[in-house]
Amino acid sequence: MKKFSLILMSLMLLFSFALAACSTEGDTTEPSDEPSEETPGTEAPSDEVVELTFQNIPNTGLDVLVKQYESENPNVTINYQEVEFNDHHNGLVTALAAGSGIPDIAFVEIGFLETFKGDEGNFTNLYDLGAKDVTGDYLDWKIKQSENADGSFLFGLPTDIGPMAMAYRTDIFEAAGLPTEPDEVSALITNWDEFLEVGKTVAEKTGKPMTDSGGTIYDTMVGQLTEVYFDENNELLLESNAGVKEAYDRATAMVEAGITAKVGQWSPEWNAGINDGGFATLMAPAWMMNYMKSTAPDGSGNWNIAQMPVASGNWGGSFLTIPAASEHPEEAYAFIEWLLSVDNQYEIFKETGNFPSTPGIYDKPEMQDWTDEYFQGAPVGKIYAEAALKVVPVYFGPNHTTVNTAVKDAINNVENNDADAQAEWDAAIERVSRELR
Amino acid sequence: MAMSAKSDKKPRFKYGSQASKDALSGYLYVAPFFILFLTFGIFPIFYNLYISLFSWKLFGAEPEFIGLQNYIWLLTDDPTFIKSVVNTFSIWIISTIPQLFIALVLAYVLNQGFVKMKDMFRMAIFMPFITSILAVTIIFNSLFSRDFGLINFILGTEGLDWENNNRFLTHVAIATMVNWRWIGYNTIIYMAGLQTIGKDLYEAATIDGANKIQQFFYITIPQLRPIILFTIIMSSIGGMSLFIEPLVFLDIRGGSANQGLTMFLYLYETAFGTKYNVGYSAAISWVMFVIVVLFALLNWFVTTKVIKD
Repeated sequence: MKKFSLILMSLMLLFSFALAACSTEGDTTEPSDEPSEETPGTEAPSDEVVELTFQNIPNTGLDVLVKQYESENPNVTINYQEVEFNDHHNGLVTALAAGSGIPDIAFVEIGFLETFKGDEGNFTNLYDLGAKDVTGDYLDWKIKQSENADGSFLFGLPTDIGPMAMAYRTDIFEAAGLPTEPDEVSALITNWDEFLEVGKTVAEKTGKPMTDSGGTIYDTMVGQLTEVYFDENNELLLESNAGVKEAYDRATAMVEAGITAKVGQWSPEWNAGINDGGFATLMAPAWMMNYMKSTAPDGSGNWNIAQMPVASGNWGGSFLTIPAASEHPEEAYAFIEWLLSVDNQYEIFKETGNFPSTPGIYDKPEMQDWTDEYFQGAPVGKIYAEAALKVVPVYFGPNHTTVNTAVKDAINNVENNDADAQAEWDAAIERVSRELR
Repeated sequence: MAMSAKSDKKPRFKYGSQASKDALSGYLYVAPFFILFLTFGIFPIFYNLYISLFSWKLFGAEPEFIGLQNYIWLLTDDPTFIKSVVNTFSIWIISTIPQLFIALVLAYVLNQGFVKMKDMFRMAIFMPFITSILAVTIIFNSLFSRDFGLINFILGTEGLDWENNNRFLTHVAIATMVNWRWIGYNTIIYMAGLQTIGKDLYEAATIDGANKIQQFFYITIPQLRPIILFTIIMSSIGGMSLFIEPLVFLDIRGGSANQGLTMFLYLYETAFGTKYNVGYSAAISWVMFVIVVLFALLNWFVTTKVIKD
C-alpha cells in the first residue's frame, strides 16, 4: 500500500512536469493566433476587462497616473511592475529573445532601444495604431530616435529626455581668474578649442583638472554630430566620418594636455569630485541635477550652469514600447498615448522634475521660473528648455553601443595607461571590424 | 558453482511480476532527477553546440549557418580571446598557488596540539567562504580604490590605480579577492585530511629525530596527496570559470584594455554585453570546456607525478 502511494506520487510529479511544459507551449502560441481575431475584437473591450502588464523602472513618476487611468477606465486593469534599471533591461532582452514573459508595455531606455531596433518583429509599429496623430506633440529629434531608418516604423512614445548643458564650479573658475556668470562663461567657451584653452588656464592657475574624463567629453562631442558611426543603411562610417575622428583627436588631446581628472562616471572618485570640486566642469543632462544633489550635497552653491560649447546634446531619455507579443496592443496604445500626453508630462514634470519631451510645456510658468539653489539660483528650466530645442536629430543604428564602447576604451587606455592615441585608434577600428562580424 | 547460482538469481522481466514492479518503481524514483537533468543539463549542452555553428544574434538578422567559422575566428583571429585565456591562467596561478600553500600551512598549524581554542580558529578561518562573492568584491573594490583605498594608504602607493594602471596589478587585486574567500575552505578540507593521518607516523618520526618542518614535508604532504589532488582539481575548475570578481571589480569587458577579462566573462560579454552574439558565445563555451578539461587532466597528471617522488 505504501509502495503504491509512492508510485502514485512519482507519477504525479511526472505529470506536473508534462503539464508545465504544455502550459508554456500554450502561452507562446496564443499571441500569434490573436492578430487574426483583432477586427472582431475591437468591440470586446467595452464589456470585457482587459489586463495589461506594464513593466517600468523606479522614479519615473508614472505610477500615480496608472491608478488614475484605472479608475477612469473600468474595463482596463494594469498590472504595474517596477524593476531596477539594469535588471529590467536585461530581463527584457532575455524575454524578447526567448519569446515568453514579455510585458504588454515595456519601458526602454534609448541605448537599449537602438539595439532592439535591429528586430522590428519584436515590437508593435505604433504608426499602425494611430501614433501619427500625436507625434507632433513631441520634439522632432526625440521621435526620430524612436523611428526606424526610413521613418515608417515607430517603436515607442517618448517619456523624458536628457538635454545637456555644462555645469561648472564657480569657486574654481574664480580662483583661475575667469568670469563666473553663466552668460560670461557661455561666451568664454563657445567651442571645444576654447574649452581646451580654458582648461589649460584652470590647470595652470589652480592645479585642478577641467573635467572628469576624456570619455565624457568624447560622448558629448559625438552627440553633437548629425551622423555618427552608421549611415541609415547601417554601413559602418567609423573610418570615413571625419567628425568622429576629430572628436577622438580632441578628446585625446585634452587627455594628453592633462586637463582631465581620469575618473570614470559613477565611480566613488567621481562622486567625491562633484562634491569637493575635483574638477571644474561637468557635462550635465537635465536628470543629472537630481543625481548631483543626492550624491554630492556639499557641492551645493558651488556649481552653476551655462550652455554647452558648440551646441546642446542629449544624454539618455526613454520610451514606452508595446512588444509584438502583447495580446491587447490597442488598449495598451490607448493607455500610453494618454499617459505620455502633453498634460500628463506636465504633471510628471511638476511632480518629479523629469524633463518632458513635449515642447508645448516649455513656455509654461513652472518651466520658465524654475530655478535651483544648488546651482546658485540659476534658471535651470530656461537653460534646459533652450538646450532641448537645440538638439539635432541623429541616426545611431543597432550596433552603436558596440562601436562606441570600443572607441571609448581606446580613449580610456590613452588616459590611464599612457597609450599612444593613434595606435589605440587603429586598434579600435580593427576591434570593431571583428566584433561586428 | 557460484557462477551458476548468480545467473539463476537474475531477475526475469515478466509483466506484472514482482521484479518488473520493483524495476519500474526504481526508475520512477530516479525519474524526477533525470528529467530535470536532461532538460536543464544535457539538452542545453548539445543545443549550445548546435548554436555555435550559426551566426546567431539575439537581435537583427535571422540565424545563418556558418559551420565551424565561429571556431576558426575564435582560434585564429581573436586577440581578445587569447588575452582572456592568458588573464585567466595568470590570475589562476597567482591565486591558487599561494592559496593552497597557505591553506596547507594553516591546517597543519591548527592541527597541532599546542593550539588552543581550535573551534574558534576553525570557524574564523571558514567564515569568509560563507560570505557572498558579490559583497566581498564590493568591499575589496573600495579597498583597492585609487584615491580613497585602504590598500594604497597602507602600502603608501597613493594614486596607484589597481584597476587601470597595470595588467599584473589588476590580476593581483582579483587574486587577492579569490584567495581571501577560498583559503578557509581549503584549510578545512586539509584539516579533515590531516585527521586521517595516523599519530604513529609522527611519533616514529619524532623518535628518529625529525623536526616539525621535516615532518611536514616528508609525512604530511605525501599522506595528503589525494586531498591535495582534490583541492587542485577543484581550484582549477573554479579558477577557470572566474566571473563575478572581475565583473564587479572592473566591468563587463574586464576593463577598458580587457586587463581583467577572463574566459567566462568574455563568454558572457559576447552574449549579453552589447553584441548579443550567442553563436560566437556558444563557440567560446565549447573551447573553454575543452581547455578546462585538458587543464584539469594536466594538473592531475603533474600532481600525481610530483607528489609520488
